[in-house]
Formats: sequence, structure tokens, C-alpha cells
Amino acid sequence: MKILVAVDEQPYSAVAAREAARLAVNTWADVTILGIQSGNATAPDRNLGAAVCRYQQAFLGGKDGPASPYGNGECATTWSRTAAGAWEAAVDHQTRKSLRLCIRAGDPLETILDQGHAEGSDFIIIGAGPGNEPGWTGTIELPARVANLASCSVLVVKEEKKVNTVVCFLDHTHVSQESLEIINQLVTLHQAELKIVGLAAAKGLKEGVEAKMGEVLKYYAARGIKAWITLVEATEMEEFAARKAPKNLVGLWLGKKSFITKLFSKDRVSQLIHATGSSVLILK
Amino acid sequence: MMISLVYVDENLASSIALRYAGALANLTGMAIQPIHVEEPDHKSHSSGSGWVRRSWEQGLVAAGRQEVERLLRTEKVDCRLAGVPRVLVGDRQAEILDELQRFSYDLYIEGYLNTASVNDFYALLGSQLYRKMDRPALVVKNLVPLDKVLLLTNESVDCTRLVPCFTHLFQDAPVIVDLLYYKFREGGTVRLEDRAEAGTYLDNAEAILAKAGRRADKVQVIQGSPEQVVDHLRSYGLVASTFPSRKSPRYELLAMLPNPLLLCR
Repeated sequence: MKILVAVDEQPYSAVAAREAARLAVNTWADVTILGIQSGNATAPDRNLGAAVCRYQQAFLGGKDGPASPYGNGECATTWSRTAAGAWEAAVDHQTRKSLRLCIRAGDPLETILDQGHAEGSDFIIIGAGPGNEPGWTGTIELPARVANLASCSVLVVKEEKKVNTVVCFLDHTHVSQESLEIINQLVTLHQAELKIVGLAAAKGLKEGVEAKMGEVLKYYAARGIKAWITLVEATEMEEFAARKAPKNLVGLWLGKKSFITKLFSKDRVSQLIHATGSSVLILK
Repeated sequence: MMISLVYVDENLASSIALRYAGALANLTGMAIQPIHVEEPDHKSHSSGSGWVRRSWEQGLVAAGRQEVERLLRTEKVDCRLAGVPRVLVGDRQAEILDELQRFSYDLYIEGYLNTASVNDFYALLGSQLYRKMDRPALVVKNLVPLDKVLLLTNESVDCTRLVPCFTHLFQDAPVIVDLLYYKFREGGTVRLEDRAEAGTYLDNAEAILAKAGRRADKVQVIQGSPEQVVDHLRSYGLVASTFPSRKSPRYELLAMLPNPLLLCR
């Protein structure tokens, strides 16, 4: 698995980095931490560079601590220019898994999507401010926009908490293997239960969705993961998600033929992120 | 030998019910009898009589049988079957009721996909089938391991009916049994209380259980709203109670629970 962690200097990015580190160590993923610097620049911002290095520590084993697939050691401090407005820190390449530290200047949304595309990322993790403060000054809806436009799954991390249940909404039949695996990893990581929620319109579930829920259920049953199923009317989804959010991680499978895509246009995904007040997983 | 009648259609609810019924059968030594009812569409209903009608019905039965056999194959049901699947044509509820009344089934099992609306569950239990059924019913809402059973009681549950119903079906099956007395309380947080809060109710229930050779692992009283209590009961592979007779907090709790439910008469 390839994980891209998009960060700035705010505290929520530290939370996102820690969540990414826990997931990465469990999955032995290749990771890139991408510091986002707004506007044009000829050199990496020193504060951002320092923040990226701090986030790196979450992935590294301590001097006397357990070994990490990303190595044990000190923070990287030397940045080399790799392209116009792009820099990369020199890191230990003798580790079992790759951990790249990058900084890029430019439009944050374009930069994150471009980096994710270039690296073939399977999963993007991005922090957002608590409550109704999504953070990312100057690009207030950035996490929601990344979640909407990225071609891979995205986890918008809002807080560090014990997750009891991963609640995933489904209303279409395209469920990628990668998304199943990401849920599997999150459920294992948090030792949580899984709830698959079928979203029904007035006439019931769309054709094939029930069968797909059955397949997903069997997939997890075969892996010994306890999965519950339930049905909710699509119009009640936001309220249901908000009610479940405090103890749970809410996920949405976004598909081209999804009600969710219609219901959760760019603004609605953003609203959901605000409404739940906690981390949201957008699955592709 | 105990036999349970399991309703099957080619859908997710039936898939869950079949697999859960299989696990229950292997645990208790019960056999299962699948049943499927083809409900004719009134518009396409044959207006003929005699062999025309018989042929039309035979066609429906053959199609239904194929559907059931396909489901049994897909779900790899690995337990004792009481007989070949019963495939009938007619009104689903009336045919199931008739089958339950004609043969001495010990249990009726069907799958149900839980919804966020408690009214859907009320409609299920308010249906002709459930109102008139004189056997215990197992409503399989989810497929979960059947290792821990909760006997859910309160003042409206007659333990002299609930406990024998449970012990008859489970006999000496290796499951952990807990006994819980539910008290409704609006607001605040959910509270587990001492058994004395239920007066002598739980002592009596335990005595009936002991008489059947069973012992409750935990005996507790819980207080809270149905929504709060649901989260505390998620670890149970089965929640057993009696059919609720009227709308009440216990009825609402049964509706909200995602666990499989055993409802005794």
C-alpha cells in the first residue's frame, strides 16, 4: 500500500501524521509525508520543514525502542530541490519500507492531487481542524475537496480517539479491493467492529446493492471480522452519521452511480465532515 | 429431533438467516426445514382452471425450487436438513402459518435487515404471521457468532415462559447465558445496577434456569434509554425475550438491537 500524508504546520496535521504512522506500521505501507506550502517559493519554509521532520518521528522507532520498518533515528534536516517549487529531504534509504519527506509549493489542492497521482497512492490522509474549523488557512474546504476529487480513498482526520465501530455507507455496486483492504486495516488497527450501512431510496436499495452488501459481509466474515449490517434512508444519512460519529469512524463509498455523489456534492462532503465533528473516510 | 422452519428467498436477509440457522443447528443438534413461498403477481395470475392452472403453479414451484437450491448451494449450508425444501404457491404469511400449524416445528427462523426506523420492526411483529404464530420466532438481523446468549427481561416478561423456551431449544448447547433486567430511564447515562433493583424477579428467573440445568454467568439490572442500552448488548450472539404485546421501551429496544432475536410466546 502507498500512503500519502498531506500536512501543514497546524496541530491537526500532527494528529493526522500519528494516525498515518499507526496505520503504516501495521500495513508496512510506503509513505510520503507531503508538506504543503502555499504560493510560489524558491525555498522550503523553515517552519514547515521542521514540522514535517517532527511528523516523521511518529514513524521512526526510538533509539532504544522497538524497530520500525521506517528505521530508527534522527529527524532529516537537509532539503534538496527536486523540481521547481518541490523539495525532498535526505532520509535513510536502507530501511525496509520507504518514508519520503517532501515539500511542495503551489495550489494546495492541485499539489496534493498531483502528488497522489504521480506516486500512484492508494490512500491519502489529511488532517482537518476540530468542530467547524476545517483549518488549512486560505483553503478552508481543502480536506473535503481532496476527498471529493482524489482518485483513491481519503481519510480526513479530525481527532485522535478510540474508535469502537467503523461505519461505512454503501449505495452502489462498485467496491474496490483497495477500499475493502483499507477498512480491514482500520478495523484491525482500532480493534473495532464494522457496520455496513446500505443506503436506500424511497423504493428501497438500488439493484445489486443488497448482493454487494452480502459479498462485503462474506469478505469480512472470512477474515474473522465482525460486521453488522443495517439499512438507512439516503435522506437520513447525514443525521445518522452525525449520531454515530462520536464513538465511531464514519466512511462513505463514493461511486459514480452513487446517491451520495448527488447528495454529497462538494459542499455536502464538507458539511458531513463538519456535521460529524470527527474523522471521515471517503472510499473509492 | 428438533426442527426449525427457515424461510428463504434469494436475498441477503435469507443468506444471513440460513448461515445463522446452520450454526444454530450444529450447536443444538436441530435440523432445518427450508421453506419458500412464490407469491403470484395478481396481474399475471392464471385465469385458467384444471390442468392449465396446475401447470402454471407447477412452473412457479419449479422456479421457486431452483431459487432455493441455488441459495442453499451458494451459502454452503452445512447442517442437517429435515427434508427437501418446501416450495409453495400462495400468500406468503398464510402459507407459512399453515405450515407451522400443520407440522410440529420447534422454531420459525427468518432473516431481517435492520433499519434505522423502529416502525419497520413494529410492522414485522405486527404482521399477521407474527401475531398469529404460536411458536418461538428467531429474527436474524445479523450474522454474528452464537457463543453468548442474553435473556432480556423486565416486569412484562414472563420468565416461566421465556426460560423454558430457551432451555428447550438450547438444551446443553455450549453457550454462555447472561440474565438482564431492563429498566427504562430517560436522560443521563446508562447504568448497570445491583440485581436487588429488580426485587425477587431475577432470583426466580435464576431458579427456573437452574431447574433446567443451566446457570447464568452474569445477572444484572440495566437502566437507560433503548438507544443507550443497545450499545451495551452488542457482544451477544443472541438476545432472547418474549413477544412484546404493546409498544413499550422493551419493544423499542428489541427493534433497535442489531443482534439476532429469539422471541418466545
